[in-house]
Amino acid sequence: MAGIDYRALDNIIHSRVRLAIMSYLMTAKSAEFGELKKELNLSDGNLSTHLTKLEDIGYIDVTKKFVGKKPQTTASITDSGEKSFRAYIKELTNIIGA
Amino acid sequence: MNNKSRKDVENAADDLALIRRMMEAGRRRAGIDGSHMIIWGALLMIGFFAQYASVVGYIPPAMLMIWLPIFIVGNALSIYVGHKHKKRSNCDSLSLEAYSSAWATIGIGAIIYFGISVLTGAFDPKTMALLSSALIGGAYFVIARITKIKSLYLVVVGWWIVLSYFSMPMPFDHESLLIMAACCALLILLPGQMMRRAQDTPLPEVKD
Repeated sequence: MAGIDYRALDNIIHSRVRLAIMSYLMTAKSAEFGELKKELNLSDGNLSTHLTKLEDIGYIDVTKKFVGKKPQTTASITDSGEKSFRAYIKELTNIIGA
Repeated sequence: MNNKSRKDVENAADDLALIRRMMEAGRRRAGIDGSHMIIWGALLMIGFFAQYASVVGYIPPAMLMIWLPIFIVGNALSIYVGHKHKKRSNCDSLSLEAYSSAWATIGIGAIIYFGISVLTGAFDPKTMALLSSALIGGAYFVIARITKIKSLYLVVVGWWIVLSYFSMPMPFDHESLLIMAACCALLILLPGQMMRRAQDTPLPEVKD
C-alpha cells in the first residue's frame, strides 16, 4: 500500500483542537465560549487562537454580546464550515478505506 | 502495508473517533439533558402509585389531591429547568425546541383531558393511560428523530407496547395503576437518569 497523501485534507480543520471544535459545532450548531472551554478542556488563550483561525476562514461566526453586565462570546458554525467539514470527513473516510 | 501508511491510517481512525465523540457531545448539549424526564418520571410514578394506594384503601380516595399538585409541580419545574437549560447551553437548536415542544405537548394534552373529564364527571383512567402512553411515545419518537439518539427508540417501542397493552379489551384495575407506575420509572425516569449521567461525563483533554 502506498503512503497516504494528507495534502488532500483541509489544513485548517486538520488540527485536533479545531477538528474537535468543528465536530462539536456540527451538532450543537452554536456554543458559548465557556461551554467549549469546558468540553474541550482548553485554556482561554488556546481556545481563542483556534476560534480566530476558524473564524478567519469563515467556518464559524463568533459573536460577542453582553448578558447583563457579563460579556458572552458565542461561536456558531457557518454553511461554509458545514460544507468543508463534510468534505473533510469524506477525505478522511477515503484514507481509511484506501 | 508499510509502517508509514499504517500510522497514517491509525491517525485517521483516531481523528474519526474524536469526531464521533465530539459530535455526540454536541448533540447531547444541544438536545436534552434528561432533567424533564427525571422530573416527570418521578412525579408520574409517585402519582400512579398514590392512586393505587388510594384505590386499594391504603390512603383516602382523593384523586384531585394526588394529580393536581403533580401537574402543578411538574409544569413549574419543567418551565424552570427548560429556562435554565436554554440559558446554560445558549442554544436555540431545533433539537432543543423539539424536546421542549414534545414535553409541552404531553403536559397540555394530559391537563386538557384530566381537567375537562374531571369537571364533567367523565374521567376514565383507562383513557388517561391510553392518552398518556400515546402522547409520551409520540413525543419520544419526535425527540429520537430530531436528536438521532438511537437508544430513545427503545423507549418509544416501550410506550407503544404499553399503548397496545391497554388497548386490549380488559378492565383498568388497581394492577394497571402499578403497571403505569413501573412504566414511568422504567421508560421515563431511568432513561432520563442515564442521559443526565452521560451528559455529565467529562470528555478527555484534546491535544494537537
